[in-house]
Amino acid sequence: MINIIIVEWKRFIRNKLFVYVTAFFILSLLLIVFLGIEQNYNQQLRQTQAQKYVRQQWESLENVNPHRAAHYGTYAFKPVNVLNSMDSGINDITGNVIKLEGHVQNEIVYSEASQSLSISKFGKLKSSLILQYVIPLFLIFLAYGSLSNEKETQRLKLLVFQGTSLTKITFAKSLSVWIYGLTLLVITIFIQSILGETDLEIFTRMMFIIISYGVYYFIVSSLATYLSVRLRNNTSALSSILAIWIIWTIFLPKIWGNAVEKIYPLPSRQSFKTSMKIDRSKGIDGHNPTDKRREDLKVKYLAQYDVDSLKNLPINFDGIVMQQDEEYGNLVWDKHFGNNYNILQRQKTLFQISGILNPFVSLQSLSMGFCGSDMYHHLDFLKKSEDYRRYLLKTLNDKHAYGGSRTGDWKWTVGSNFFKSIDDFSHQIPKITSQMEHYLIDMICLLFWGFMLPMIIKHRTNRDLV
Amino acid sequence: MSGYYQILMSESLHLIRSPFKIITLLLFIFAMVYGCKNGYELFEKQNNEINAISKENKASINEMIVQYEAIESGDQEKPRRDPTTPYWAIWNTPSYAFKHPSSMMVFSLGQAEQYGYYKRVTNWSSTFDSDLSEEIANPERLAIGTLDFNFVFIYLYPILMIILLFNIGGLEKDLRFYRLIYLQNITNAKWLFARFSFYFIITFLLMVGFTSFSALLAGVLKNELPNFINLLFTILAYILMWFTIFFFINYFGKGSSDQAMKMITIWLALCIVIPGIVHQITSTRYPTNYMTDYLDVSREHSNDIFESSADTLRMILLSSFPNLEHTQFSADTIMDKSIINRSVSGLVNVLNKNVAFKIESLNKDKNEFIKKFNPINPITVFQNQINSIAGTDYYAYHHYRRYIQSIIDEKIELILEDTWNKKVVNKEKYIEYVTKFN
Amino acid sequence: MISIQNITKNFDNNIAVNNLSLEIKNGEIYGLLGSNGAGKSTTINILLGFLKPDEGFATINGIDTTSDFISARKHIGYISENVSLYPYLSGLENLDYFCKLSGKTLGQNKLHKLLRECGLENGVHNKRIEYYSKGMRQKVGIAIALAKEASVYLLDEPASGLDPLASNELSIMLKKLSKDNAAILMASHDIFRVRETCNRIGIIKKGELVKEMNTSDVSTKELEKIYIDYIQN
Repeated sequence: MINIIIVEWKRFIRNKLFVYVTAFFILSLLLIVFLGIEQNYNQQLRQTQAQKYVRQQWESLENVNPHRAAHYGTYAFKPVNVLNSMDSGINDITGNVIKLEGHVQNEIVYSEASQSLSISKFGKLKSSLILQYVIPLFLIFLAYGSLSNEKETQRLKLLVFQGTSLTKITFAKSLSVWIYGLTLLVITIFIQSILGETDLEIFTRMMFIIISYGVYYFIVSSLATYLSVRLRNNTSALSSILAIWIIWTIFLPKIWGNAVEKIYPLPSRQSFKTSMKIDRSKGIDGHNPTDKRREDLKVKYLAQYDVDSLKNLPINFDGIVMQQDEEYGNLVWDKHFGNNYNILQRQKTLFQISGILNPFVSLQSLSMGFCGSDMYHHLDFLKKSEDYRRYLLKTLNDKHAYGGSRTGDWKWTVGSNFFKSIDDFSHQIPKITSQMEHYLIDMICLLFWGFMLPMIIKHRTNRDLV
Repeated sequence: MSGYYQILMSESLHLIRSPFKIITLLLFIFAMVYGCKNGYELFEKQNNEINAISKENKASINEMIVQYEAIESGDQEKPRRDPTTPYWAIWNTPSYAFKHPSSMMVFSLGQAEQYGYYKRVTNWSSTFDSDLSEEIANPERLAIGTLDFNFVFIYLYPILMIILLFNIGGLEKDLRFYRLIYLQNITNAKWLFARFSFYFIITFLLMVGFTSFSALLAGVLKNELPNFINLLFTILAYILMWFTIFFFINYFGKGSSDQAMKMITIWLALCIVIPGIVHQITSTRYPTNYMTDYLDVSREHSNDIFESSADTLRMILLSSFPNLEHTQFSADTIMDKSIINRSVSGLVNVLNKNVAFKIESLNKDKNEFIKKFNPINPITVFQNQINSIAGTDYYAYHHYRRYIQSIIDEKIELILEDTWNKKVVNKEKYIEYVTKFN
Repeated sequence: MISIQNITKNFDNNIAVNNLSLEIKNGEIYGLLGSNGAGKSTTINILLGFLKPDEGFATINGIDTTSDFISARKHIGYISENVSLYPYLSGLENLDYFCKLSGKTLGQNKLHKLLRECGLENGVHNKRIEYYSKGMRQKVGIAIALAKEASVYLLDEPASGLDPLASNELSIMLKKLSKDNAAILMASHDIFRVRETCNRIGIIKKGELVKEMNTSDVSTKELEKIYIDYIQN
């Protein structure tokens, strides 16, 4: 088998076009990775500046009532990580800024896609675009004729009658092509690790990226070689594998993506807001002094502190009400957003299952996942920012309630030291090992294809095909 | 000419004898139907949502009218937010700015899924409020994109053409009988042109037929005829572009595989790589805007306004809105803080507008930068042209934002005028407001 | 009439045809014998107008094949070693298509008649070419040439790979064409077939015409000896 691979590589290397294309690929990948990291760095810089800026504003709050500060709020800016320079996933179309304030959970806004004309339907030219679309296509070009050429020129007969099995020849040919894809992949990851910052977490993620793309390239090269041996001639082999490539990369992801959204529909914003509003109205309205539930809470606290009026309470009842309002609001949010999250997860799972028919979606999902730019990482950011909002509001409301002011004293203020003492929002990309459960289906689907194709090659290639 | 006609007519035989091509053609038709269906569904969904909101608005208007009647008859006390003041009356006048979808949306969803299409407009609104962000949707699905007619036509039509054309002139070379063709009193170019013409005619007629039928069903022909004609011309230009490219590939091709590889490489370059490069360069040059200027206005600057004294604010208001000079309150010597409080949204709006102008200018620069690549990036040009025809491109939503701003301005002007003239709002006046903003 | 006047053709300093001259009159079948790479196909390609000679010129019925190859081609019927037509079309459809390419619309009866004249029975006319044997495809190729009503026929190894019966039928067909006053050039290395079919024979070696003779002057055995002598020396 080694001999066949060596001869195959000699064939590649002695072809000038192949050498030029390879050189072009390597240079392009170098440039693309460099530009990706540069763009990522710029974005990261802007994000850090924006985050620092709002923190500075927060820390410079002087003599402000805590509840006023709750309305003043702060912002969480979605960070980018170094691997986003390889695959920006959903980052371009999701918002980047979320306001964290009292009484309300805002939506993440200001997506990049909404800030200009539409440009590319397949994303920016990041290394993932080359690795997902261009290199597999080149592998197809290398593989489609590898055996049909041998058949057309009758060389295959010679090879088989020299005692080599057709299965072995097919494997050797597909491995030759696969090694080429793998080489380009390793070069990309190597350039990425040299030019970008790499720590253990990023390294682990890169290893998973290599494995995922490696398996996908194996699938593509095996399938192309298999079709090359099965089909009558070059043209049939090429047209069939191209048809499969188009169905996998263009057709199925969109059709199935639309279908899953119809199978598990999300509510419209209007109906979502209305139902949130209805549920929210059942809780305490922190700003409505005539609210009945507020009255009940008042009675409870008066009894607890054994006083007869709010004036005599040693704490600020307004802060208590605000926190109650928040906690009820949190429950409502958990219910409704939790429902949306569940739907999103169901949609994602159903979409991932299509990997049985289309390994490309598994690869895409894994690539985004390992680069930290998929829906799960986005939801993680949203969750962390909501957790921070709750921490922030609780700290402010507790200060309001127990910081020394009395009920109704809205002019009571706190100094900047208090605001400085509240931790800033920071978000770190979660450890990939803690996220693996989300990608099991994708991995199983890729491995299924990776094992199934060699089996098919083994059992379906025989001398009759020669 | 008759030879040309003969070849053209004979081509149907070649097509019919290629089941692979027929299946591809059928798949393409299926994709078009599916794409138009998606477009029509979004069009219907948006219309339904708009209708539902309008219905809700009517209900809340009726509630308010009942409230006015109760207050006027003395059956009800004025609530905390007094509806007899112009400020709260206008606040309670539900006015939504809708971006009514064009029926041409059937042909292109464009950027419609990246923006909101309805917004409750108040005097505190701005054109970058969070309720103007996209509908709730699966972000991964949005990233993959929806299979609409525009996508099918722009990206899949060339693939259909590749499959239909890759062996035209290639098969003859593969089987080495191309010389026999050239010996039949016809040049390679003429023969190829005649064969290409067949596919040009059938696919163009298919597109015209299909789009006309869809347009008829969606009511486009009745409402958007000029836009529809514009779409047909765009389709024609796009088809011609690909036919020209593919013609030269086949003319100089060495066989079916060689032609197929060249065609798919050109497709990959034009549809994926070049737009990807432009996208990446644009992002590097114009990174995502975190809107800190806007956030500043909504927090810091408005905070400054709230902290200013009533006298200062009155002065600023009078200089920002000179027509207030002739109102009752401007002549008053006694300061009424509540009037000032109800007017400050006007000042915040001025700040918002300044920031919006800056953001829109930055976006404009970004768009101009993208357009500089048009000569080498034809796919994006055609894609945005169809989006524009369907009213789903960036500019359609830019106009929508301007429309929202005009409503905000109108509301503020009315609040200021009526508040400063100390008008008391009754049922009739409220209905006047309702009529003005709906 | 086919006329070749002192043509020379080089490919990257390799001489393919060297100062070759020959004339084939109407009603004559000329056999160009030569080993592989002798320059037979290059000569035919120059006559077809696909190659331009470096020196000299060739004419078909007096029309220069270099400067006015489109007009010259109107007079040529060409049959190659492998007649691979559209595999998914039938013999009849292929013939019809090629006729249309040359601007002729023949009726079904005429098309059937042509195929029958070339030795294809009615039963196979509507079968797809992919199911035809090489000999049958060759016959469709001849039918295409006949339909064109050409006065000059150029054949490049036409009998290669044909069984003896099909080969013999080809000879009969060519003789019939020459009787109808066509000028035929047949390039081959099949001594027997050339001897059986042609009126005149030329031996080409390294692009030069080294020997010319009338078929009537030599037996097959003698021709074989002459050929081997010339090629070996």
